[in-house]
Amino acid sequence: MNRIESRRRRSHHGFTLIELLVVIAIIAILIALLLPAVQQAREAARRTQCRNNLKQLGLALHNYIDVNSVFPMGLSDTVWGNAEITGDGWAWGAAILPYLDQAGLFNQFNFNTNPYNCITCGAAPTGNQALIATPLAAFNCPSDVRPSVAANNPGNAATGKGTNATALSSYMGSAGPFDGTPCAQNGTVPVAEARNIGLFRVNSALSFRDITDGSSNVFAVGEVRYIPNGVDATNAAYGSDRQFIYGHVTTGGGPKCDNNGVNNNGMHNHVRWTRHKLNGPLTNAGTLERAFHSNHVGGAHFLMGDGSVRFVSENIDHTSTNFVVGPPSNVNGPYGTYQRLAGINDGQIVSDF
Amino acid sequence: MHGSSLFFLVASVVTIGFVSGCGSRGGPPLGMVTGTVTLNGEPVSGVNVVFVPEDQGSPSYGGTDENGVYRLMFNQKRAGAELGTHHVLIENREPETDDSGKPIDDTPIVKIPKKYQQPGELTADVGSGRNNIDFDLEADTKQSSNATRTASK
Repeated sequence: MNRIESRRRRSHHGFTLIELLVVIAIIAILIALLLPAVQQAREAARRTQCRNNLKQLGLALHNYIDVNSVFPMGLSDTVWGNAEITGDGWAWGAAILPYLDQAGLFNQFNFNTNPYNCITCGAAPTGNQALIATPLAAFNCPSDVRPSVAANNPGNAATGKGTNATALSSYMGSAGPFDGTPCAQNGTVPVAEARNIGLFRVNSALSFRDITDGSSNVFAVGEVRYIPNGVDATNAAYGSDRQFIYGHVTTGGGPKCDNNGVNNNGMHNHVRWTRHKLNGPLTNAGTLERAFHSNHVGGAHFLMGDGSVRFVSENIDHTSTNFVVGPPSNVNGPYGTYQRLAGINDGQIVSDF
Repeated sequence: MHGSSLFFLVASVVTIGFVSGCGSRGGPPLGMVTGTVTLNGEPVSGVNVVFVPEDQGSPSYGGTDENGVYRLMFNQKRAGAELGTHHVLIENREPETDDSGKPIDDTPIVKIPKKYQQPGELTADVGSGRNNIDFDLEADTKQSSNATRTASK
């Protein structure tokens, strides 16, 4: 009797509607918990890839040094102004191509003309103008969401002084702690200005013996992200969308190393400075076009001179110190850790960062 | 049956509590900073304001609008500046130039005297919560070179 009754009760027992709803709600909450974790795992994977690319650039730079005894120049620009001169306008990114398994591309470039030069300019560019549209995975950080190419002076594409497609980069060389004038005029020749005490400079190639601060204590290459030009709350321009792998020219046909504005071509297309904050605010005052920045939460990766890759916090000690011409100049400090890391011979101690 | 549904309800409430309770923002504590920059009593538009912590820390940036009002940003998401004493730099904004390096806009820019663009002349204390910090600058031609600063919380 008892057994029969219990069997009957069991066969009638089911979940009530409320119980089912609660179970579904809990499952929904658990899924909601999991989804952000999946997104974070994706970003972690992208960050790893980004870091690996930087390491590859480091190996390429060191292989370059093994062959040439020096680091590549930041930018070649041999005549003051923006005149079109043989072989001007090429950046460090083009120099290390053979060491990134891109010897084929390197050999096709004609370094006897400017980077935008085309043999038959027009609808279908040829020569350098076609080749500089080649995006390279080694220069692409997956976290840096951007187009692979960008138009540059497109109205002058037919004359070889502009292009409809320039390959963009996520990695810029380090040119020093002060982001003012990137080069100075010495007669007719541009030379690195006194404040440019970073590893990549105009027309000069440095070697390890120049890095008196110790190669593990100085930045070689850092991350940038594509920031479309816009205006901030005070109607002032900001942005960082001219980040080119191979080189640049201006509408005059040559490079112009002393340009460093938002809407300019210049040194800042290939190298950056640490005067302004890492991952700074989207304002004119943040001077994003000359600074390092990334899409990673909390900082960005930097390749050090010794080939190691470090993640630098955006809250690193930083004084945003401007260059004082002097005498006495403040090229040897005092300034904060972030700027010290960019100077290769500032003589200031870098504690752990 | 009542007992089990009650258990489910309690479990779900606890779970929701855990989900909504675990949120934290990275970075140091900040105080919100706004204010007005004037030069000889006139509001200055189009200059950049930089707060650099006197001790170790990371700077905040802002620019003045047409009324000379600035609002500091610490990074892309967070407004404000680190707590404590700051060196304040007030810098001329560089003119926007075209490809050849010529300025696009010909409207004259108010020149901030050099001393305000270097650390040492201006300081400010940032406390937690809202800070209203005004800067009254004096042009170089005048005899007295000390800027007066009024700070109120």
